[in-house]
Amino acid sequence: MNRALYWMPQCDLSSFPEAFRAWYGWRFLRAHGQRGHILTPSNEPWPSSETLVPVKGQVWYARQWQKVPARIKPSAVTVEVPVPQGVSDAGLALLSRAQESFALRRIVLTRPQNLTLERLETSVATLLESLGVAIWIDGQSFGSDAASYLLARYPSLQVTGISEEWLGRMAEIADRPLYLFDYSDAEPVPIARPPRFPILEDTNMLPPGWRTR
Amino acid sequence: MLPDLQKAKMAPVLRVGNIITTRVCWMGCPFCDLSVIRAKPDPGLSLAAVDNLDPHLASQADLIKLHGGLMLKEPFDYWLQVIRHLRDGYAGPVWAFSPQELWHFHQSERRSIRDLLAGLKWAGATALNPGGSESLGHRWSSHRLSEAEWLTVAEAAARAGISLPAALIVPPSPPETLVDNYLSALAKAPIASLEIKPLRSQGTRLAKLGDAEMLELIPIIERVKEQSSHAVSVRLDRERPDAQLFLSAAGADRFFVPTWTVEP
Repeated sequence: MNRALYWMPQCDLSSFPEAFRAWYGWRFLRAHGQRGHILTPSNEPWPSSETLVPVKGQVWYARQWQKVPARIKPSAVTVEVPVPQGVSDAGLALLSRAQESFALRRIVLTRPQNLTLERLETSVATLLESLGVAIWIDGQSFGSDAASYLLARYPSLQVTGISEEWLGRMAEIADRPLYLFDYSDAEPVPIARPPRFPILEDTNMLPPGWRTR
Repeated sequence: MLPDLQKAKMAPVLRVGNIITTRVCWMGCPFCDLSVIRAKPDPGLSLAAVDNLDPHLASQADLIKLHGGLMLKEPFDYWLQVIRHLRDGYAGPVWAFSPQELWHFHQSERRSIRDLLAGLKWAGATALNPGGSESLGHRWSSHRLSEAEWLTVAEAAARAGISLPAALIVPPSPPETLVDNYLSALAKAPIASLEIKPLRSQGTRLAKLGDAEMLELIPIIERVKEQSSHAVSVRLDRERPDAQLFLSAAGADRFFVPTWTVEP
């Protein structure tokens, strides 16, 4: 069973001014050893990217579902949906529709407010069993406690939008090998775990005369 | 192996009001954020600060803990008056000082531990704080209480009718033998409950280690429940419903969550 945990640095270029997008994107990739995933609002090519609007032949990152004319039909789609609650949830209809019309690359789940961890776990487990695609969870909305539990419980689950230090710790706790990963053709880069040293007794002495002054 | 959430029953949360006597401490324990050594000690908590404590606030706490750094300014009797004062408007449990702090007063004021405990009992404290018991499995610092000294205080407290919990600090990536070492050191102690303290290293000398993740507490709690019959409380820094759920499933009996803090 593949237990790999992927560290995929992700940069959303839509908040940057158009003239600087390319520069920001390349700077971001350079900071991560030419690896990283770019979400772009336009159609410029990147080694690993998804477009925030449907573009012909590219992978569409769908935050809002829309009808797509055949002339700009994307090659695949990534769907970001809130975790479905119950069989009648609109998110499930959307997912089945996306699966019918496009190749589904992965889905990114966000956590709706007031959804408890046990119901969250049930939904995620059901999705993992029924959909045959990669499932990523959004670390920001899930929160670190829920994300850590789910990552340790389901070894095929991946997380995005959470700090790199935390991801390293999580790979250690959940005992999953960590890889620097993106959707380009390059192989994932294994990331070694940092060494852990025992906490020794503290031998710092108080300043002379401190206790008796 | 992770616990099954579907069968979990959420353990109760105890809201803790913290009264900090002083934020200055000479001991400098590596895991404690009170261990900043300052040139000039701040004054301790004034009676006025306790007096100004809103009665509404006091009623929001299920438990009040009085604790703080070790310093030589206010005498022990001053703090007895503070507890008396607090007792006037609050009927719930008050945990005051810890074996570590009592040992400090024992040394600095040359009063017997039994005398100090009798004072606490008279003032209305129901239990001691667990401070000092962290050193049982792992000697954090040569300045802290030794095992034998801690056990002396524990026995004296049991005899005086003041209950005493023990606390285990869980560092990030805890060693396998952490719980076994701790429980074997605790075997003879008459303790009321066991508290699990995930290391919060911000502002301490262990900051480079980072914090313990809540998920790391699961095997610890399971091991404690397996090896002993103590009730297990977990100290949290805030309400964390997700962590509370999986820790309850692992066997935690209650959670301590701070609601308010009064400090000098």
